[in-house]
Amino acid sequence: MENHERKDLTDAELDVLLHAWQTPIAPARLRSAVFPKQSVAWYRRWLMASIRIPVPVAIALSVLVVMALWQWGSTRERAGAESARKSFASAPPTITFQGFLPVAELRPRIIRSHHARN
Amino acid sequence: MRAIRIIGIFLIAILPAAADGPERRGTKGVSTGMGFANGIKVNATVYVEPAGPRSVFDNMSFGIYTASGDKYHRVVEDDTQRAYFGYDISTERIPNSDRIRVTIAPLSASVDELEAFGVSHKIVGFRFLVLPRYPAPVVVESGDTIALDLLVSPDGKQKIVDYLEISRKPAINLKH
Repeated sequence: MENHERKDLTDAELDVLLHAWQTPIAPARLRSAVFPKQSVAWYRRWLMASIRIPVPVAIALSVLVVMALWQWGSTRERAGAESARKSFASAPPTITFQGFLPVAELRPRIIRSHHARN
Repeated sequence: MRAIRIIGIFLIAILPAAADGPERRGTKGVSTGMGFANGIKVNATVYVEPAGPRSVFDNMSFGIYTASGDKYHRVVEDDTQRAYFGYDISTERIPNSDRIRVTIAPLSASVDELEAFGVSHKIVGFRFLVLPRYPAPVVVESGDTIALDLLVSPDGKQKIVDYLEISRKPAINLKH
């Protein structure tokens, strides 16, 4: 480089020199390194994708999702209770109430008012 | 004169017991009134028999709910077991008589309905127990009482009984 700087080449000489300069052939990987191919896996594209949503819309959607989940949970809980209710329809009760068992059959005993007065 | 005084004291002593009737020798729990649309009144009172500590009723509640006044739902809840059971009661005047037909039927109120009635506890998630058999309708007269055994101890010696006092007039404050 220093030799080139020290030589005082004219513009014409530089033009000749540039035309005569043989540039090395770029390696094949250089292009792919500088300009990567767009053939990214579809799932990576999905993962890296983004949607621009206005903040009010995002908040409204979040509220709707929370409300829907709450409603769904509530419905499931009620359905479970009703299911348990139906499942006991044919089974005798086995749960105790403060140590007492529900009777198997309600048998009304009539206490006549004249009997009570006697 | 002295004999009359002794008899008087004796009568005063036995009157409260007589008012409760010979069938009731237990500890009184809660009492609730039902006023049917047809003018019939039913006063439901829970007793534990034979008499026991009132703590028997701890964590249990005995509710009465209605939507129309034609039918009442009697609900017995246990908070610790998170379970409940009950029955429906409806009444019907028998024409040209002083008699009343009382029907005890399976509890028909759904969880949502019970919640809408304002059941004190959140009943959703409670286990519902259906009693296997329910009685045929019974015919009573005004002033009669129907006793229904609801719960019984495992040894069968103690029970919780629902006393349903049926009347055509507004319920009188019964002294149990």
